[in-house]
Amino acid sequence: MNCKEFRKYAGAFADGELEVAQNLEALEHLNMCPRCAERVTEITNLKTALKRTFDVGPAPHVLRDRVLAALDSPEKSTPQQPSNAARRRVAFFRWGTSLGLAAAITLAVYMAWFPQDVRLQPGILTVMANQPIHDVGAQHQACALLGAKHHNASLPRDLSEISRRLGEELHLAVLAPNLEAQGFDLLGADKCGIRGRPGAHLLYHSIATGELLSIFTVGRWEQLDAGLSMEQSVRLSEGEVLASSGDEFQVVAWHEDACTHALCGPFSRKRLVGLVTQMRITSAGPRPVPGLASPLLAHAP
Amino acid sequence: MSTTAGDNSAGSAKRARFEQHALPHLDIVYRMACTLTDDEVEAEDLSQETFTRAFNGFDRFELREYGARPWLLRILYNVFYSQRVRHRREPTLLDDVDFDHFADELDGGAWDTDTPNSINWDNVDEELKGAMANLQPAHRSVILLWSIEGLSYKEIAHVCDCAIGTVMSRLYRARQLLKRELLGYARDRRISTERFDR
Repeated sequence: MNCKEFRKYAGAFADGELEVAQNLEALEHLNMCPRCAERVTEITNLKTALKRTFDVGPAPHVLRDRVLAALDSPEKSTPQQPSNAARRRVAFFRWGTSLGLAAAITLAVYMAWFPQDVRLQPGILTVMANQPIHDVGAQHQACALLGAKHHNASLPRDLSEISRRLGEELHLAVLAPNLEAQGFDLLGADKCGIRGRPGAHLLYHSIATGELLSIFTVGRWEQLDAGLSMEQSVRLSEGEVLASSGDEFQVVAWHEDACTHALCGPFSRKRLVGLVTQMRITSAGPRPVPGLASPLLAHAP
Repeated sequence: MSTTAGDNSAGSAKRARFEQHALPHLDIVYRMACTLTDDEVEAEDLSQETFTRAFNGFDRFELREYGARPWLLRILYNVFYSQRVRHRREPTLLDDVDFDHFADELDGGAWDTDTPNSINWDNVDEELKGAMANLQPAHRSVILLWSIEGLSYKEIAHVCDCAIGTVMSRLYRARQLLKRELLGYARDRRISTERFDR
């Protein structure tokens, strides 16, 4: 075992979590490497310091009495004072149109059913962290590592041709917008979809910063917005994804007829929403999306 | 035996089992509730709610080799994160990092270039609180479960509903982030032993 390998297992060694054989290898290495031995000491010292700092001691006696009393009538025993969090949970959002008002009423009803899953901000339906949002971020990160190698050699480079070819092969209305005016160049396209879900994936890169933007098209994916249903053809879902590298990605997704599209990249939500609006206006003529165009831009941070 | 008497008997048995297996962990649940809420009153409410839900779901609980502690803590975390108002949306952690792969990040990274044991651990309590507050919740959870309660990786994985490899990589990341913050404080306040090794 060398130092690099030991660094990987130092914590597990200090915690007694290694298998016997690995433990022996680690001990052999430590006998020869004082620096790695200090790493183990450091981990132990950190643990001690954390325990000293955050250990508040035993629960107060009154809490034990409260819990025991609650066991006698568990269905009724909720804390007497609702937390400030519960009181502030519901937020109203306003739409500028009558459609928006109907939507607000519908969404208010669904809020009662899914208070833990949805928080509303003006003009945008926000979905708290969920597995589909996570999957979009994971796929973006995995493909971003490939960079230009992400491009499937069998596909053309012309965006309209990509859209046509992928659309025919995948039976989807593949989104392949020209984002040159927004400062993005196509890096590559492939049929990888999202984490095993068939679909198209176009990878763009920012000409100014080199940051990568993913545009996915998959078959309609209701779970992306926690399964809430509304009588709208388009609704935005969004979330944030934090990669283990420390990178943060924003995800903005929407349904359109039989497809679901998702944008993902290390950009602000406002930027992604702006891109979505621009794409829909330029690709299909001046066709404002109900609740998507000006109300969003007016309210986006 | 009448139905009512039978129900009472079953209810008593359930309560007795719950008191035997779950109630001994009240201190642990309260301690973790305090670290999550940073407020004793909220922590008491959170703890009570945790045990209430645990009792309601106790019929479905299966006692495993590590007992009821991880199960209770998982309920605690679920209750906390479902009740909590987030002024800023919490991002999802990508849990894809296979423990075997995250070693690649060690090469050439800024994570591990500091000298080990360069912090004076006796005088960092306030700085540690500040550094912990800056951690992402997922990192903060694993580091607290690891340090305060001494849970095994398997138990932490059960509480956090993730793979053991994910626990290991999050622990590694959390420790490095804390160390980086503490070294920053130390450089500002000259409490690092490195400053005196000239």
